[in-house]
Amino acid sequence: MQETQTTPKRSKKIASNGVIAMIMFVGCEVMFFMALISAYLIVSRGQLNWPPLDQPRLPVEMTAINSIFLMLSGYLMFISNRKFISKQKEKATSYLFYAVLCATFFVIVQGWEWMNLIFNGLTMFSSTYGSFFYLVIGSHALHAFAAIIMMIYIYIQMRAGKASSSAFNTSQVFWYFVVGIWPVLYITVYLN
Amino acid sequence: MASTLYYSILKLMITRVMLLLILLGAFLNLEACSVCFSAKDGTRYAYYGTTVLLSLVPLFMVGFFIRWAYKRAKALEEESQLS
Repeated sequence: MQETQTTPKRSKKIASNGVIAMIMFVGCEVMFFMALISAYLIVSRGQLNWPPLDQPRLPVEMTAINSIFLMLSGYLMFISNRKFISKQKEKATSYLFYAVLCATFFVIVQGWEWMNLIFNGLTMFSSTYGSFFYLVIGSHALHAFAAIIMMIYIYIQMRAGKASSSAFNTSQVFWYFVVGIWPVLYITVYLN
Repeated sequence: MASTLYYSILKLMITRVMLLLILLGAFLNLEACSVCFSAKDGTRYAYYGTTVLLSLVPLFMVGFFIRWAYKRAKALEEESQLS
């Protein structure tokens, strides 16, 4: 008796493994930042003067302008993705380049601001305010730095014509997270 | 016989009430401990607010992910039916 063998129909994946893994990682990172914000808010509400009177003030206006570059970078990344989907690889590459440029500019300006703050006496050990500032904003900067490295890698791959949509989408998820969490951190730390 | 039963029930009840009181006391202490470094209302409100936020954010994230996955799967199914 001959049995007919049927191969099961392969269903399409809703997203690549990389994207799913990155979404899960971003979920964890959201909780990490939420925990930092929670601690910051509870401690700050308990103080008589916040920020402490003897500590330098944060550059609110300059950071606001710098934030525009981060937002712009997120937008350029989005445009790059549109172009990548519509098979306009050259345009996608150039938009990604500008996105990396804006992101790098943001991190450099942040570093410069930090140097001024440290020079003016706001250090990790100067006060609770300083500790929280460097912990919260530093964590974001670390994420931004990691995302930039990831984007540079994708850019190199894209220029060589080897970039896969899976890798590009994975880096996008992470970059959107870095861009998206920033306004929350800015409002909490800088405008609080 | 009846008095022995009565005493054992009373003993059990007293033990339970005492346990309940200890638990209630523990809860009151726990509530105080979370913000014991500051007796200000602002600290307490921040604590309650962020507790609510930290409880709801994961639920929203999971809900959002399930909704996104469902919509994506549905779109892929429609795509495959058309082709």
